[in-house]
Amino acid sequence: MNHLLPTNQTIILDQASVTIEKFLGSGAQGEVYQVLVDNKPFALKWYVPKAASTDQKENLDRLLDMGPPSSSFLWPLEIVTSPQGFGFLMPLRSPQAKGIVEIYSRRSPVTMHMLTTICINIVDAFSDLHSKGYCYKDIKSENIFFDPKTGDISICDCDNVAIDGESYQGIIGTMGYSAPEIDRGEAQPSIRADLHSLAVLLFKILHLHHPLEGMRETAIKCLDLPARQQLYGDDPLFIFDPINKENRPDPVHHQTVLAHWPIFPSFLKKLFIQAFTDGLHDPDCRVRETVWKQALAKLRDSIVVCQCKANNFYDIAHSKVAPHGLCWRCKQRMPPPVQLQVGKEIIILNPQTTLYPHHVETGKRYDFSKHIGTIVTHPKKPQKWGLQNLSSTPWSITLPNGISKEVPAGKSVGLGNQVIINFGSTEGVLTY
Amino acid sequence: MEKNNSFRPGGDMASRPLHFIYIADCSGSMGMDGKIQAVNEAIRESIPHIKEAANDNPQAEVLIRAITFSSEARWHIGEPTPVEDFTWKDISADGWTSMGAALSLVAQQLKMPPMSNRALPPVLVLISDGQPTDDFEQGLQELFAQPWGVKAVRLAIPIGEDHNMEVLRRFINNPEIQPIFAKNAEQLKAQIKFFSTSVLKSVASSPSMQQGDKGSNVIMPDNALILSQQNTTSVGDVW
Repeated sequence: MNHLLPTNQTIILDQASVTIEKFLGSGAQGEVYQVLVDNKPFALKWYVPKAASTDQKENLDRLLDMGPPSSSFLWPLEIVTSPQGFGFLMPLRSPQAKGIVEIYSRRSPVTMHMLTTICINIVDAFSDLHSKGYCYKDIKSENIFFDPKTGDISICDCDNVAIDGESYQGIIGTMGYSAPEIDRGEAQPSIRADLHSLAVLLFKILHLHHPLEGMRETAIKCLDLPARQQLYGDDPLFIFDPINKENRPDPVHHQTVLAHWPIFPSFLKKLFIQAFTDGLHDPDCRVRETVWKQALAKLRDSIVVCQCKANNFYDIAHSKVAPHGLCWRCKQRMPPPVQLQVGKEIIILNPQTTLYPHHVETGKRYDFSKHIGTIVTHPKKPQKWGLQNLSSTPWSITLPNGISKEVPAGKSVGLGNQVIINFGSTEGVLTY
Repeated sequence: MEKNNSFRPGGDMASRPLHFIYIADCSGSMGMDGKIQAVNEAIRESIPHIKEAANDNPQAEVLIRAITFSSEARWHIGEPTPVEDFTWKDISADGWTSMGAALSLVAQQLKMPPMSNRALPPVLVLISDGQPTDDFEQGLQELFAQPWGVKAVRLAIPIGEDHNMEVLRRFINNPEIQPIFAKNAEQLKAQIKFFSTSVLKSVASSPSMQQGDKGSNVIMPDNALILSQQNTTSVGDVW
């Protein structure tokens, strides 16, 4: 098939010989290939003539100077040129990385633990970018990939990253993710506009549905550009707006979001309501990344797994599984979950629970960089759980009868009611 | 509705039908110089690419059909077929060029019903090598009398020396989209692949926007790749 560059051939660019191995995909501005340079694998993006402007090259130069905000970004490494045009080299996505569309299509089952981890990593990455004064401009699921084993993410198409507040040519966003003021042509892309796109992305990952598509969407016969402009830009309305119910999900076409929304705890719902009521109209009211991170970490610590395997969430504020104390799948009343309270924080324990420095080390809030502990189940009695010490230092536990024991690194402690675990700088109490 | 063995509730993401309709000329002249064979090959080769585009867009339910026209127009594959079930049956060439009747058939199917009142813009791909020999205007008017006909993304591929660009432009009726002449079998494949991937994706989910993009009802992907091929002369053109 014909592309901008010939596949299975080596081409001579001004900077290096590049072997084009295969075509990976195309976008609005060019095509991406898997290549070898000096026998090392890279991805190469090559621009179509219309996009190969001086402005684009200057932006690339700036990004090369800046360097990636974190390892989550597949960042431009080097500009490559030829008399016919130019492009840039960037790291190749890892072969096991999957697109967010794998979550949307439900082709691979993903636990809530993994979903929340992916969401935390997405928020972290854009927070790193924004803290440097840059905006991404085109946050959407098609630009993000995840490792299904770890939840680590990779963000591609970084060549349109720009300084916040500067006006420029080029990409301004994608309908459905772009902020309403961008859709209406009232503003340029910015960090605050990115925050709207981020909120849409998080809602879609967690609910498999767009936050602004309710009865107003069903009333539209042809969902084309003018229709999207109206739905997302001119007159956006959250499907769960507390006051205006005109855009509630359609009971026939929108069953999936109707099944998801109730199972999330109230503290998360509150943030989505903020993002898609005040946040729709006032960019200053959008939910900031630090707030998302706090809520998503708490969400991950609220997961309860029913005996039927369904993932539910324990709403600590209401002392029951959201919304009514019953498992969403088997409708059985769920017993009070096993909990670990460390200081003021409550962590609901389930078979996938991992403890991070965030949970048990003072001064390490939102540090999820290593595993400090994990739940293990007794090989012969799966209803008996233990907590394995994955840190490098011993814990000590105090049983209700006052007896103390040490839990060396690598060993597990059986969970029991009112057992106190001393992790070093903090102490936790179990409710079992 | 709920997916089995899943950790989360609910079923599939909400989706809308995306009707993709091939409208292929199989008049006698298409039997010359390998044109009809090239069309069969190009459509057959496009199927895996349509599958991939559909896989990447769970919010679109891609349904494919085909009309052929020669002395009469008829549905070659009349049932809107999910892409995973779609296979192409070869067409053969014989007769005149009833393009108007073909457009009339399309118009009939774009009425509501059978067309849903909740869908994505249909994509119509017209492939022709010659002049219509019937009442083209009548067919065109019938198509544009249907709101779904107006909202459809209409694309055309002229092939062969005797094609009528003006007629195809009138069918497209959008100054931002031009018919692009397929000079040989390779270019025909490239053009059909472009329509069944990039254009289909643009309809299924809006692509990244640039300033000034909002001219028509779908943001069309850049045709530069296809245009750049047209400028190269290739030895041994098929026709």
